[in-house]
Amino acid sequence: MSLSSDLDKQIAQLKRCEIIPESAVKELCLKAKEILMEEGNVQYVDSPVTICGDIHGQFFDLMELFKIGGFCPETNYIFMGDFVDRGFYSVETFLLLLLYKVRYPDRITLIRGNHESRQITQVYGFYDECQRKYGSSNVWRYCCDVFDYLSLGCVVDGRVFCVHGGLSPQVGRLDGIRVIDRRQEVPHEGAMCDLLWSDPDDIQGWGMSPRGAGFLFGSDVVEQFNHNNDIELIARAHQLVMEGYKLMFDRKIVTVWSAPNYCYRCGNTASVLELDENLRQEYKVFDAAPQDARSIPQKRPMMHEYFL
Amino acid sequence: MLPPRQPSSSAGALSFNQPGPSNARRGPDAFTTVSRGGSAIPARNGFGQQQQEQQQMVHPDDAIRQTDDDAASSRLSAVNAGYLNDPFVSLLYKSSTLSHPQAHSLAAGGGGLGSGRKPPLINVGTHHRTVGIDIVVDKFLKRYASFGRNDGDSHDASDGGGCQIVSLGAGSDTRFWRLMSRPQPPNIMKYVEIDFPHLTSPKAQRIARSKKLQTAVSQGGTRLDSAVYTLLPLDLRPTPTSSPSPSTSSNPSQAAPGGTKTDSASSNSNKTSIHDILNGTLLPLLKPNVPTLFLAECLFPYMPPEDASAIIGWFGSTFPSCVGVVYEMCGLDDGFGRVMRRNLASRNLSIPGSIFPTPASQGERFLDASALGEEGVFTSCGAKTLWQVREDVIDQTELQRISKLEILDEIEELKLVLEHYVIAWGTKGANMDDIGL
Repeated sequence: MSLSSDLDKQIAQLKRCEIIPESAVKELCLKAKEILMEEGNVQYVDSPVTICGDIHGQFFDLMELFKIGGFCPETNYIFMGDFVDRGFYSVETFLLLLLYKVRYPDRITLIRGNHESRQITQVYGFYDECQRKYGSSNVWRYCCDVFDYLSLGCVVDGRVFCVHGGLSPQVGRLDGIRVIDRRQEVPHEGAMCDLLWSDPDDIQGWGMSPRGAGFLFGSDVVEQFNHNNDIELIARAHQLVMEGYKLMFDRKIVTVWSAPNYCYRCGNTASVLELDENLRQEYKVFDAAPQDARSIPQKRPMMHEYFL
Repeated sequence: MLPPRQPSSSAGALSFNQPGPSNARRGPDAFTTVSRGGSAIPARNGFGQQQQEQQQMVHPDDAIRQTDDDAASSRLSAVNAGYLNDPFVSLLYKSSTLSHPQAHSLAAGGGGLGSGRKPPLINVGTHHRTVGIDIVVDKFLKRYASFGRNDGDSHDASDGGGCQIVSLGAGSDTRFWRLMSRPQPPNIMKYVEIDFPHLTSPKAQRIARSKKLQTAVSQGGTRLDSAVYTLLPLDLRPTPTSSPSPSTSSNPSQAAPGGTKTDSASSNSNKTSIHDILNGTLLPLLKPNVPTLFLAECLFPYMPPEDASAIIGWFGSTFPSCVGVVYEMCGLDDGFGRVMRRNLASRNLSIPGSIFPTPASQGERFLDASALGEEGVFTSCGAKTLWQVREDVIDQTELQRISKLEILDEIEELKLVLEHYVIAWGTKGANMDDIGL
């Protein structure tokens, strides 16, 4: 229904960090669902591609990311989830990424993160932000409906597995992910939950996660999974790393974190992972956008919270 | 009931000695940053401009009061969310949310977190902070709970037994009521809370109006200034050390003897004046020979380091048997710390007293004879970050209980934040050195 020129106008508007009307959001979300519906739980992606971790509504930092990584569609992107919550511009961030998805479906892959959830967004800011910016929860509901259609992972050239959190004891092979019925709210347990919540850790086998959802998994688990699925690298996000990225387990898994100065508080750098056509890895690190009156709005919920 | 505004006459003065804001934190420099027009920490970019715009609309004292709500509002949030049990927090602290036009629009959204509720990370940290400090205080109380106790009026100060607690910058703190409402209240001879006059005044009114709060106070008497409990309006700030245009005369408190000081004379004379203040106002309420614990939660970072040392040194030199407990940020030489200083500066707060790079150095401040003086020095010390408190101190079953209250999405961030807050303690006197965490 949407013409390319309409989409381009909306993209230009959102790149200025201006929201589009609720009716446009509704239409965008319907269109996005049609596209995402056709994608598999594990989407195939070709190199070269640039892989990004958590964004968390830090819109002006996403603009920094595009500055160093190139804009869509010139650069092919994978975003590994957690587009929303925490930052001040979850609405603008998610809608811009969604517009890119509808406008250039083959140049951007969006994977679901644990924050793309009705329950979590009510605690960590996206719900409140939608209320604040649109005066009702309609936009939040439209977006949550889209969340349910997002892929759970993707594989680049059959060799690099991208997922938001990590592995699940219930999933030894990628085929095990393909049989999940993903069109639902993120469950509290089970394979789908684990993929979005788990973390690698310096243990052997599986451990209890301190997050209360998902598991910790050790180097042997990664070794086995990569071997069984002919994977050379797992790229995942989900954990703050101060240096922007962190390779573990003999470079068989990497955490990519793309929210600089996370929550406007953590003082960390961010990164994206560029894979060239030979899957050679280049990590590009970047810092937060200059903090000016626009990057932090006058109304600042949950801002700069300290124990004072 | 909101704290009363400063009368407009004093608002115009913007003096260095105008009482700063609220509860457990604040301090002179919280306010002087405003007065000095950004000389301590320059405003940044457009962000500073935004601040200035806000200041034109909001009285600076209000702006600071708003930020200094943090501890009490965090405490209320943690209590409401089930992390802590504290029936007194809602009696002693009323959220000032509704008084701020900004907050109105935030609250209007409804749903989600709601206006008064803090993020899970803040609730968790507030829990750990409270539990950690409670443990240190309880060890002290356990040691001296029955000291000198008799069967009659066990809180009669004339017993010469028990212990004393001084809470510096107590704000809306509820500790006294929490202790005294226990089935077997500890034998505290004297509990003194100190804060700026404009903060003690609303607290005194709240206590006077609440039967529940009165009951605890009256265990040692019926008046607010009872035999056990005293709420002492006191400005610990000596006169400013580098003021371009001070107006000390407008200071309503009794705490700023003398006029302005020069920079060169500041260190020694500050020590002198702080000791004078404490000798003149606090000491008459206390007995030097009674074991005494003092608490300073997020107080010293807002003072020049030498002023904090002067206060610690005074306790060390006055009470042969003494425990000092400090809770504050630490290790701010990294990215997190730089961002914190910047963020606090944007709220007109500077933290010149936050100079300790490690938890250990926070503890060792109690042993620094060059800063505290030979008589003021303590004999043992220790420190733990809030992350260490979480890992090493808090009961596993308690951690499991609170983990079920809210979804904590991000452990790395929690660790990063909690590692930058420290509970440090120093002790001196016999049988004191095992009091700590």
